[in-house]
Amino acid sequence: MTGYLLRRALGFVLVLWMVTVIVFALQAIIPADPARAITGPAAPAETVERVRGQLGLNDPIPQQYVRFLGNLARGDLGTSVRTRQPVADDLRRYLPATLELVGAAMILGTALALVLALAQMLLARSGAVRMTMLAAGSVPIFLSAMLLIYLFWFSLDWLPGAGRIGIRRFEGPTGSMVIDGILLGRPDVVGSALAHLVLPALALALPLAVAVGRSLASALHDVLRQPYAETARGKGLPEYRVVLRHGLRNAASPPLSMLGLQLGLMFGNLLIVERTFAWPGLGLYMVQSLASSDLPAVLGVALTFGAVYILFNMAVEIVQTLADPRMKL
Amino acid sequence: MTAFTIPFGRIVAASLLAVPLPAAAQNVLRVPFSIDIGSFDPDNAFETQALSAINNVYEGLVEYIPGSTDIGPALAESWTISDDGLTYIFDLVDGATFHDGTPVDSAAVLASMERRGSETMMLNYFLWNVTGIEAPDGDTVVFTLGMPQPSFLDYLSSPWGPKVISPAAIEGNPPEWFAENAVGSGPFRLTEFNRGQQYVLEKFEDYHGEEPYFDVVEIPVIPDIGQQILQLRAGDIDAVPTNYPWAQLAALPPGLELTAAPSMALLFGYVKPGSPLAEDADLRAAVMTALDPDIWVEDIYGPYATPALSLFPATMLTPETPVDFPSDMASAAAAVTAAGGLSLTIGYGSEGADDVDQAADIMAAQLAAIGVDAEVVVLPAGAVYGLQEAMDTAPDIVLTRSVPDAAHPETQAGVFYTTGAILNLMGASLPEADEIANGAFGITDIAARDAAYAEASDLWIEAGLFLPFADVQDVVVHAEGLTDLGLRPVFLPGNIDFGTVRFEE
Repeated sequence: MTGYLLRRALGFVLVLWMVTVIVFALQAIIPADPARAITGPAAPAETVERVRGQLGLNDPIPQQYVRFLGNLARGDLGTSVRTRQPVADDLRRYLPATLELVGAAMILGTALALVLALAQMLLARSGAVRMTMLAAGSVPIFLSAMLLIYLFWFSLDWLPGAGRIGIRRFEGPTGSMVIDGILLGRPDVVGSALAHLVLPALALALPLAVAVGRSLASALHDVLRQPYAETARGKGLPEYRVVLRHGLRNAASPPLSMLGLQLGLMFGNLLIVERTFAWPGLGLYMVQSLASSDLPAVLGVALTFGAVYILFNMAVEIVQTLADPRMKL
Repeated sequence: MTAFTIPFGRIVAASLLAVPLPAAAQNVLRVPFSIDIGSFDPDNAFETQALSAINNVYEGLVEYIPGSTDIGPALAESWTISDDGLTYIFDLVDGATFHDGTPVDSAAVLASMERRGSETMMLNYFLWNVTGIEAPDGDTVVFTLGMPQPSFLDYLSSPWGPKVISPAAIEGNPPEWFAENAVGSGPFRLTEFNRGQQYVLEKFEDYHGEEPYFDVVEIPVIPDIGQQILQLRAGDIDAVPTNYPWAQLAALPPGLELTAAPSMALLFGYVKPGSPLAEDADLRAAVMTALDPDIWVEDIYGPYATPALSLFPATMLTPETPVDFPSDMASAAAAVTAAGGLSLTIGYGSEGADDVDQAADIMAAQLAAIGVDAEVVVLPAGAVYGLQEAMDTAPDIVLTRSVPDAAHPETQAGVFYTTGAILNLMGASLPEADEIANGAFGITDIAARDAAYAEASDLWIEAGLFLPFADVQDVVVHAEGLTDLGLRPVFLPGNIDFGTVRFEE
């Protein structure tokens, strides 16, 4: 376990380092000027130049990069050129909303994947289930997001279609509305936050549910043909108990790997979903920072996404070994 | 089963209780921003949509009157200009106070102007010509200029122009505090700054001017225009201030209406110096024939835009002889054939609006009709500012829809067209036009000034350096009955004046 943690810690640092290299390389290639973006189009050249100097943009890229790494080592991610706030503060402000949304999407997506896989295994007409999964997986996320908004909020008025909460000026210790509502004993906050979570989480969860569901169905299909499954059937266990007791645990590894991979894709979709649902998280922050050529903010978000991705996949690997003792960390 | 349904029912009930009542019933105006506020500091940020909020929290000495380019009083009730044009004396209104209770006086104006003029402030260039500011008494402020500048009042009236901030707030807080807090003297106080989510303004009870109709203005951040439209239709917001699809304006859903107002938004094109279009008069005439905005402006904007009259917005100046695009398509096609064909690229920044995208596509199709091989390219965000460093790969025409800083033609010519102008993106240079434009800088007679700038405009167009296409109106779609939106031509489109807007009784 110690060796595993050391290897993963090294990988963690390497991956984050690569993220910084990629973002800095992009800065060198993209002809955008953050100084012009923040001073406005009509600002005189000397103003733009002064701001460039303040931001250190006149220094060679390698020098800027070394300075960035030095600051990063001290926990300083720099100042956002758009919000004028320390990027670390901005991340603290937006991260809880994103974690809450991603967490909800993961739970929802996993549950849906399970339902889809079991339906495919147990229902007689599993072709229809497969077609439904394919259809849901092939709809572009911006379209599925708008469809969900239009149907469940605008047409039926069952659920809110935008924002995190319908209550003004609520703040809690963790930044997660659901958790804070529970901690502070505010059922109105919990209810409103959950209601606001459903549609964006569902939009994010659909691609994940289809991918993980198909992976699980395929793994179950193989596992349930193994001799131990036949033995279980031979003992007279009904099919659903064979699936639940013997199938799921042994088929868990491939869908868990898929779940870890899907998180990376989910971060990409997050930019669309948070924008569409006006969800004030890191995705929306990233979209607006990109439009302002706000490199420190973009780097901060990229590092955060990278870190969460690595940590989540480490957790997945640990769960995989728990589910299948043949696997070693 | 019971254990599950009871909490869920409570949760649903609680969430229903949390849904706000209709905005109008609470005398609350809800207007979304599609772009989050970067900084609320009136001196140190170039905001676009947030102008409406900033200009309702802070006031300058003077301001543009809604619906016009006329300058009216704000914190200064009157002003005089010396005969030599070097001294501006402002008399302040009586009884104005800041939101923190500090009285608005000449010392406060001085402190704010010193802040604005400071080297560390991004928008200090608005006071570039000011050599001295004095406060001879509590109600009077005197500005001394380095040279006569007839555009000075326009700079003070600009939506990005100098604002007066509570001196107590300036003294008591670091500069970065103003990015998320505000203490002005306008009709509204900034009471909630919830970045990325919502901003709230509340009526300032001691406002010295006319009392606003709305008690509260809620500004949710809703980046997606589809989401904004649905929320407007559902009654959750009261207006979609900008970017409502032009093609849908002709058939708005029941309960919605629009307000269209003159704007300084001008759709025009930069032509790459050295391209065949700039070098060959016959080809230029042929291309202009195909690009004639008379043919396509209505297709994009409906009745909410008109073909441009010159390189200056029609609300800024009306030339005696508007630009004339040729109309003989057969001759244009013959000229292209005679030249052995022509290839052109039309570019625009990816941050451009949908109408610019549509205009580029229509132009390409029009050019194809006369035998030009035209291609549309989308430039990465911010790339238009670096075109001069990459002229080899720059498009032949770059489209933009821009608004100047103020209503004086100097702010258009000196920013977009003269040699070395900061937004002369292709580095065009025509000394004879520069001479006329620069000479017009000091002219105080409006007709003579406008004639000079119009002449310069003709020269730039004749030289094939710039092409004007359309004067685009400011269109706000809103709930039925919302009126007096206070739209000002100089403001970027969609900047509603929260101090004037109201529901019809």
